Amino acid sequence: MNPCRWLLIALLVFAAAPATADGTAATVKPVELRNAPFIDAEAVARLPRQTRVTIIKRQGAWTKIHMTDGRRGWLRMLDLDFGENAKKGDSGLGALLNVARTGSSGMTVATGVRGLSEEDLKSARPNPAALKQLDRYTVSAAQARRFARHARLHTQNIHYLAAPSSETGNASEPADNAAPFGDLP
Amino acid sequence: MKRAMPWILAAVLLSLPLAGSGFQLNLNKIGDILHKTRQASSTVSEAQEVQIGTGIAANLLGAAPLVRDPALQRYVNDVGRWLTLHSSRPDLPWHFGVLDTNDINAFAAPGGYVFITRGLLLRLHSEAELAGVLAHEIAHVLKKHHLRAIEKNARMGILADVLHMAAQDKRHGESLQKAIGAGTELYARGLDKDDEYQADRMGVVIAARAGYDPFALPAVLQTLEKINPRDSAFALMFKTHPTAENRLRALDAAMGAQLDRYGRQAEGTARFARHFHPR
Repeated sequence: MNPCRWLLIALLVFAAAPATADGTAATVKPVELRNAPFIDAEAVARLPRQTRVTIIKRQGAWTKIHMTDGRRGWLRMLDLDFGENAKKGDSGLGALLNVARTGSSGMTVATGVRGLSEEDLKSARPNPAALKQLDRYTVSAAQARRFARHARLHTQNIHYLAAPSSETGNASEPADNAAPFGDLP
Repeated sequence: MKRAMPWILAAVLLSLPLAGSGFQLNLNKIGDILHKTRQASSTVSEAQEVQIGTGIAANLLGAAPLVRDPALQRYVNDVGRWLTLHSSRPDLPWHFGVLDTNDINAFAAPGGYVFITRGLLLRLHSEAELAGVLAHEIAHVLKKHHLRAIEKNARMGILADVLHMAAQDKRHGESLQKAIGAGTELYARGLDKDDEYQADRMGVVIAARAGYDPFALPAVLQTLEKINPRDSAFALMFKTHPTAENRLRALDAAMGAQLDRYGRQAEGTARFARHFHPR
C-alpha cells in the first residue's frame, strides 16, 4: 500500500475520533454555574468570561457541563460559544479533509465532495420532473394533524418575539408581534 | 409553468442590465406600462407569488435533485406541514423537500417552498432541530422576504410586463432561456441580515407553538458554529447568512427567558434517528 494511503487512513481515524459527544465551548460572559437547569437554582460557582467547559448534554435552555477541575453544573445554552476552535483555524486535520461527525446518524461524512455552489445556482436549469416528485410528497393539513397526534405534539399559543432594541431602523417590525396565528390546528 | 414564465423572468432578470439583455423594446410601450404601474399597486397576488416560487423551486431542483427516499421526504413534509398550521398562512400549497447535496444549507421560495440539504439534515440530532430549521425557512415565506427582495431590487411589476412582451417574441427564446438559468442567482446573494434575524426569532416561536423545544434551532446554530467557515460545504450559507455567532447573540437578546418554559417540549430524537436507520 502506498504511504499516501496510510496517511489518509491515519488522518481519517484521527479526525473522526470523538473527543466527546459535543466537545467543548467557552462562556461568552461572566456566568453563574447552577446546580439545576433553572434560573432560580443554587449558584455553585461564578465563571469568568471565556471559561472553557466540556459539554455533557443540553436540556431546553440549559446545558450541563463539567469543568477541568471536575465541577459540574448547568449554564444557559446561549451563554456558550462553540466557535472558538473554528475561529482558531483548528488543528487543521479535520479541516484538511473536511470531515465532520454528523448528528444522529453517527456517520462520518466527507463534505466538499460536491456542494451546491453559487455557480450551480447560476447555471441551474429547471427540473420539472423533480418538481412533480415534490408534489407527490406533500402532506395535507389533516395528515399533518394525524402525524402530530401520533407524535404527541401539543399546540401552544405563543406570541412572536419582539426585535431586540439594538436592532433598529426596521419600521415594519412591530407587525411581527401582532396576532399570533390563525385558527389553532 | 408556461404562465409562470414572465414572473420567473422578472425574478431572474432583476440583476441583469436591460441594455445587455438583447431585447429591442418599444420605448412607447414601456412608458405606457410605467404609467399604468404608477397608478396600480404593484402588489403581487398570492397566485402570482406561488407561480414565482414554483419557477424558483424548479431551478433549485435543477441545481440539486431530491434525495431518493420517499419515506424521508414524507417525514420532512409531515413535520413541515404541521409547523405551517401554526403560522398565519396555513393554506398555502406548502412543499418540503430534501435536496441531494452535501452542501449545508436550507432554502425557501415564495408561495410555500422549503428545502433542506442532505448535508444539513445529516448534522441534525433531533426532529426538534429539523423543525427549527424548517420553521426559520417557513418564516421567510410568511414574511415574503424573497418576494420583497425581488420587488425592491427590480420594480417587479414593470419588469414583468416588459418581459411578458419580450417573451411573446419567439426569436428571443434562447436569451430568455439563458436568463431563466441565471435567475436563481438571488439565492447566491442572500437576503438582508435583518430578514435572517427575524426568521430566527419567528422560527423558534413557530417550533414552540407546534410543540417542539424552541432551543433546538439555537442548538443547530451552535452546531454550525463548530464548522470551519472555510469548509467548502458551508461556503454558500456562510456567504448568504450572518455568522452563527451573531445569530445566536441576536436570539439570546430576543428570547431572554421568555421561552424557557417550553424547553421541555418534544425533541423527537428517536423518531428522527429512525429515518436514517431503515431496517
